[in-house]
Amino acid sequence: MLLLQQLINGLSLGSVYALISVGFALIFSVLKFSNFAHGSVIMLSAYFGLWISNRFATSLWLTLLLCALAGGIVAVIIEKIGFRPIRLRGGSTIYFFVSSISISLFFESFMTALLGGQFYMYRNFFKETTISLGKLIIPWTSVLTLIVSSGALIFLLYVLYRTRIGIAIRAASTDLFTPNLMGADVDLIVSVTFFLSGVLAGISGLFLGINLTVYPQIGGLVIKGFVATVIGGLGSLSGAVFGALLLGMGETLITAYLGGSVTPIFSFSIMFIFLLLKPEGIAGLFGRSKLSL
Amino acid sequence: MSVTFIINVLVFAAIDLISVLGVFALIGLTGLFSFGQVGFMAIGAYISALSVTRYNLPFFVGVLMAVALSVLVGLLIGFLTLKLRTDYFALATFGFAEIVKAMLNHFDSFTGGAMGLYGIPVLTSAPLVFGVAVGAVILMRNFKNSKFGRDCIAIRTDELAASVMGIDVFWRKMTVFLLSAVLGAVSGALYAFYVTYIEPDMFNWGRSVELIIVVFFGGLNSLTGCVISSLILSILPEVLRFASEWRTVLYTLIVIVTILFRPSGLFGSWELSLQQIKFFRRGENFARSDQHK
Amino acid sequence: MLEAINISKRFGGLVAVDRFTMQVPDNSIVGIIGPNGAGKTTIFNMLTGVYRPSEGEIRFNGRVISGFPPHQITRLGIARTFQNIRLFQGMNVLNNVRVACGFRQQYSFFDALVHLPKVWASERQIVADAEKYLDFVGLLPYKLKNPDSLPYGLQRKLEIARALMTNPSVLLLDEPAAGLNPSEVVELMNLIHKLRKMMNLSIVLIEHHMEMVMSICNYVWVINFGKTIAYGTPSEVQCNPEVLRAYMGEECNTEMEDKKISTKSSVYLPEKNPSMTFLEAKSLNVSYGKIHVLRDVSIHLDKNEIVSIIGANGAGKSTLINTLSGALPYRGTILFNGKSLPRRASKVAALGIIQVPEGRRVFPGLTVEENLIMGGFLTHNERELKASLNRVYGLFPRLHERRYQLAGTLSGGEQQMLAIGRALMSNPKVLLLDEPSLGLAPIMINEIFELILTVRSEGTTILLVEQNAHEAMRISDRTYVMQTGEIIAEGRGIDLLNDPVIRQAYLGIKENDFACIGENK
Repeated sequence: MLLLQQLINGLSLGSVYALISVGFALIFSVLKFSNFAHGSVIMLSAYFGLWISNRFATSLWLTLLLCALAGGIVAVIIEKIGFRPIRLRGGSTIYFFVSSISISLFFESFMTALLGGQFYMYRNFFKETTISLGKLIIPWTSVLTLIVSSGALIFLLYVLYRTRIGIAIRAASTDLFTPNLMGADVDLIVSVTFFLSGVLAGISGLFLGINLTVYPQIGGLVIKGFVATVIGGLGSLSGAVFGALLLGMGETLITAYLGGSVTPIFSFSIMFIFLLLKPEGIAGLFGRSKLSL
Repeated sequence: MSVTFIINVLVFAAIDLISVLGVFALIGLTGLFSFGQVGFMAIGAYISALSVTRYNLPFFVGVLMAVALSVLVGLLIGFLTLKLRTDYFALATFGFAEIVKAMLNHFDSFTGGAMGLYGIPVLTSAPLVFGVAVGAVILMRNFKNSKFGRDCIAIRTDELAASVMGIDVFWRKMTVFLLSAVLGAVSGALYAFYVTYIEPDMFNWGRSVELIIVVFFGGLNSLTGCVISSLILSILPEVLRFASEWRTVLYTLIVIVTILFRPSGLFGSWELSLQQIKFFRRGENFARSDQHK
Repeated sequence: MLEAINISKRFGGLVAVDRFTMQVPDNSIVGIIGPNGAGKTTIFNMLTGVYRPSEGEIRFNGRVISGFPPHQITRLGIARTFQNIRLFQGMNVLNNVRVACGFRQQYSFFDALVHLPKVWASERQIVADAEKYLDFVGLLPYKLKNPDSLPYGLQRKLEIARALMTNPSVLLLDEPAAGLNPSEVVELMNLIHKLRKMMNLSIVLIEHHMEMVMSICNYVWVINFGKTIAYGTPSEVQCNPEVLRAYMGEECNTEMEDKKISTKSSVYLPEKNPSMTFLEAKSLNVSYGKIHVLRDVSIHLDKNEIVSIIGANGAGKSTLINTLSGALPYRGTILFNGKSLPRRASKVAALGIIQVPEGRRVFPGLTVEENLIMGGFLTHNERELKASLNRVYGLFPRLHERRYQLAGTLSGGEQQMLAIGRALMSNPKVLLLDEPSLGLAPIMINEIFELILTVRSEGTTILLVEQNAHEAMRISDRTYVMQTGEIIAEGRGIDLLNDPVIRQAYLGIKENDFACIGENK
């Protein structure tokens, strides 16, 4: 029974990681760099949701919506200021990388300096915090996380496969210039991509904030998303989801049976191994890459 | 501002400089984007500290052991990662540093874990640190002005062309990687015996990013710029009584602005040379020429 | 002597080079020529260890070297330059050259850290050597400058000087004349002669500049689609009909002749009529960094014309198309219906000027239908999009069959159809086609060109860039000929094909070369 409990927790954790990693993978497949600033979007959304829900006593769903929007907008702004100038002058991937790391560290240290290292808590959205199913005790937040994450990913799938801009994003991931020749302005495509990844970041920020309380280093969890995409295959969306679920469950089980201090060793060693032996990740096993499913 | 305070600041600046020089050789000269420097600093700090506190070995033996281990680890990591492409290499070294930190946390009976290692004797004196720092600068200058330095710059600019010019790219990269590891280890060791207390969290990825920032700011090609940049960014916050929380905010803002507006860094490729100092003293005009011997 | 024996290179299913054999005798100059994408640089890459041959052997002075890493091959005495200059931009000219003899400097890492006296001595020696080579090519005055401050011709020389520093016995030059103006080409030819004589070198040359190849090489190998199609002395190769066909294209189908004549006569315009000028480019100048790629190019398109642009590789044809599409910065004016074109590719496309890019560039991860939808990205509503889709499927029934197939799995011909279909989705006013026949079998080429005529008959104006001069000129109303960034001729009809100007542009055959008179293709 305990094992089943852990698996459910792991699944829930994995679903949050999935939101992070898919947003991360989206940027990687279009612009070919690892966007660490994704973590900042997560963190800022978590704070934003906190402020909104405490100040205006908004319901969970409204907070969720606002966080998602805020995340999207912040991501677009970050792209415009921190990445577009580099892209327009044809800078190499390294500059994107360094810029994204600096932005991430900038926001983290800014919030730390501004608000101190305190941990803030979201108020309780529900009267009861858990549901019981026989011997299983499942926190509401876990269930909600699973449901909302799945919903968000399905929404993303819809956009990518059934809308014109989504098709354009997938086109841009193989060829960043040619869409211009069809009138699909690549700058616009990039902005929309960042908006979508920001929406996912916003949602994950809210859930991370609820589950883990809000603190400036929370953006560091983007590393998990990043490990997940390496396992799943950099640039593959389904790989990102898969990798995230594996990582979430793996971490939960290792923490439960071997202790929390082993967990980071586990996660990073797995990432290291995948980078060395199979950089195409699990998706590579199926011969897929580049925003395929 | 007492003399002790000034010396204190300068000692920290010198300790940082030694590590920065390693990062300079790696990222600046060779274009090997590594997040692993804190890993080597941690190895240097812990191995030397443990040798002395736990095994009662003399100070210099402890430092030697730290250097030896960092070379071994460097060889291992180098063999595994140096053939990866740029962003994978960055991620792999990131993983390496995190694994080191996680292992230090985990094996707490040996290392003191998250609570840290206390009671390290003060064996680092200001003259020692200054001496080592000056020595390191001279070594780096010699390195840069030799065939090794030129090969590294060639590799950074165009690896394929470099190999066609007869350069054994893999071994050059390994040489620089090991050099940088040794500098990191020495810096870490000196640090441990100055502050008398170390914990794994001091060697986090934020620190690696700060080192990278210093190099970027000073100019990837300029040793002089690197030295000046390191001194400025270590000393300035202390002198201006910045609250230390804002120091990182400042650093990251600097690098973002640098990348956006002056990607070649503050000093570009300019080097201070002995000839220029001579001319300056004679009061003649001298032309700022590009890097020459 | 350097020998390649039946070397091949396969990338997955693609055979880039197929059993290539060549001998480079000592102290000779050998040329490798062939159309774009023929596999010439792949051959160089195999010779220098960048690629390992999939089969076959490379021997140097009797010793097998295939599969050795590049740095080892260089140390054995084979040096090379690159097609797009790969100088080390972070260091000055002197240091660029110094890097090349690093491997001959005899001091260790620890010696270097401490800068022992022998290090100083070695460095002084190397500087002296480097200056000697720089002097030899005439670059000594520039020794402290950064490479990107030098004019393009001098950068090329620097690449050669740097390769010479490795003390080679064989020098491989990859398109050394690319981007040079005529006087620089003459200088280059002199330099090559000097090198061969004074340094006892063998030289292997990949070039498109036919005049240069034919006048300095002892032997020439001609490659197409990875296979050798001819080899011998320059005069033997120039008259080889296979070679002419490889470069100037095949006559594909004589039936086309009649069809073409009838369509042509209905839109024949005796002279340029200003009121009909649809798209006009005046004095276009485009540079990639220091390379002046288009020099004062002026062309015009009248409504509903088919105009083609032919010329050898490196002439600037694709650059011209990309400039018209708004993809490149330029000096000069481009007018569409009298108004200046915006300088942003997506806006140009929005005005109805659509490009079918070189190499087709379909989106491989998208289905056929999704590719077409991308073409119709700017369509206002779903109903219009559907109508466009149906129209394109009508023109290309094969695409309709494969509409849910991933575009990356289509054959070359089908991809070309898809690319054209994609361009047609937005009902373009002007269609710019960049080398539509590249890599296609003759039957496909037929279909494509027939299609182009159909599209024109529906009211579109067409500009065609082609290496296959035959086919292009068959269907065009007018043709421009380009060479090294300039328009050197303009004319109508198939007579242009027999014009010696064209032959010179393509094959470097000068007017008074009588060896090939009697050929009328």
